[in-house]
Amino acid sequence: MKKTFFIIATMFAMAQVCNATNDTVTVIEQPSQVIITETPSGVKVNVLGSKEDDSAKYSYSVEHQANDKMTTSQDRDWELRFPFYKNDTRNHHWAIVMDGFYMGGGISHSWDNINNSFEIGLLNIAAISYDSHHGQGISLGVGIHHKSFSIKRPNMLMRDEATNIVSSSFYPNGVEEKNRTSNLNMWALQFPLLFRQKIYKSLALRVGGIMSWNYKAQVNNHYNIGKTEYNITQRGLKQNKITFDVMGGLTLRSIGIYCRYSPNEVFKKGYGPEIKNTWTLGGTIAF
Amino acid sequence: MKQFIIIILTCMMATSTAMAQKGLNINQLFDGRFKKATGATEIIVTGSKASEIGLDIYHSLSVTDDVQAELVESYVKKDGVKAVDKEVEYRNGQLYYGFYTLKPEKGCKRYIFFLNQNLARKSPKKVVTLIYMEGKASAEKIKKLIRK
Repeated sequence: MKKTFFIIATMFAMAQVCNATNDTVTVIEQPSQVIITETPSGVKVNVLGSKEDDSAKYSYSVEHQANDKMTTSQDRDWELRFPFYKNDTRNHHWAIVMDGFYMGGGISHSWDNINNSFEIGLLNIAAISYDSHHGQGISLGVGIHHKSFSIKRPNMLMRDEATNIVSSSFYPNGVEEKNRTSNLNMWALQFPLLFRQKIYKSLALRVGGIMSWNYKAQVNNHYNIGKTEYNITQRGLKQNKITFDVMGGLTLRSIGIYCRYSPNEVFKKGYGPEIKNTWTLGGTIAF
Repeated sequence: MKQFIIIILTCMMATSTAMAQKGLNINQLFDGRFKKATGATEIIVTGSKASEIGLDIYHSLSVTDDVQAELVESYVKKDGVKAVDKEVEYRNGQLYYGFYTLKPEKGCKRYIFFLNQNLARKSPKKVVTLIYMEGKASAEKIKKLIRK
């Protein structure tokens, strides 16, 4: 009985699909087998056997029309993607960024005659950055760095013209105590590799290592003797060209604070005082 | 004066959002009851974020609780009856997924999507998801948007 109803329903449905003006109703009671074949071009129904005749056969087919609406069965799972979900992998991205103007002051206890240091720079003139959008990020870039060490009075730095060795000496006799300064200035191209981890909302932690190419170093001395002003610049220092620093900091939106540790010696062995282990604290402004 | 205008605009936006789902059974699920429910996730996106993908409203709800899941399915089925176009798949006598195109309202196309990931063959998860979407985006675009 169930099968009979099924066949009637199928016929009725097919008649609907093909928009037949006259209904076609065929009743086969207790069929032994009903085969429905769906093809891209249409549907075919084969009925085998009936209550009265086991060898009875009935066949009916409907061709799809151009404007038919087809519903296809889906065998594979629906892999859902949330367009606005935070874990949406489409949000992961690489980018070229420019960020991290910084300025800070530091100390080094490695040499008694060092007063303090000051540094300024742009952490990344350009960097390739990956943001996971899970709160993590990584960047590798190139930036510029300038650092200046000031020397404690009454000492000043001098480079020996013959040996290129930088050493501490006293200001010449008769120098006015005011307006006398002696600085060691360094310039570098730096290559920071930084990791970022979001802590809370816009607050993030940044840590990483920085390799610096210290392409330029010079001693600048300034003093007055009487009414004569002296500005002495000495280049050709034997600085360590490649050094490594460690940096860490917190950023909140576009501003932040950082701490930078420079363990390497400024001068090559034997070419100057031992200036190393410098700690610097400062502020950053990201663009 | 500025505050007054902001209040008026906020009210207008809230009213339009509420109007969008008015008359649908699933509207009862978006009354805020799931905002703090354990195992439920509700996401509402309107404005520029939604318009980036051709929608005015994107409202999704994912539940893990069996009772809540049955409730979601029942409301979706009721609204599905009124759909002008539908694509559904049943597995083991249960609604596995349904993509319903509702009658447009004021020129806005409206869609309901339902998925019971517990009936997935590969890696079933005890999550039932309902998404209501409204905007100018076509059904095909919506399907591409929500299918990997």
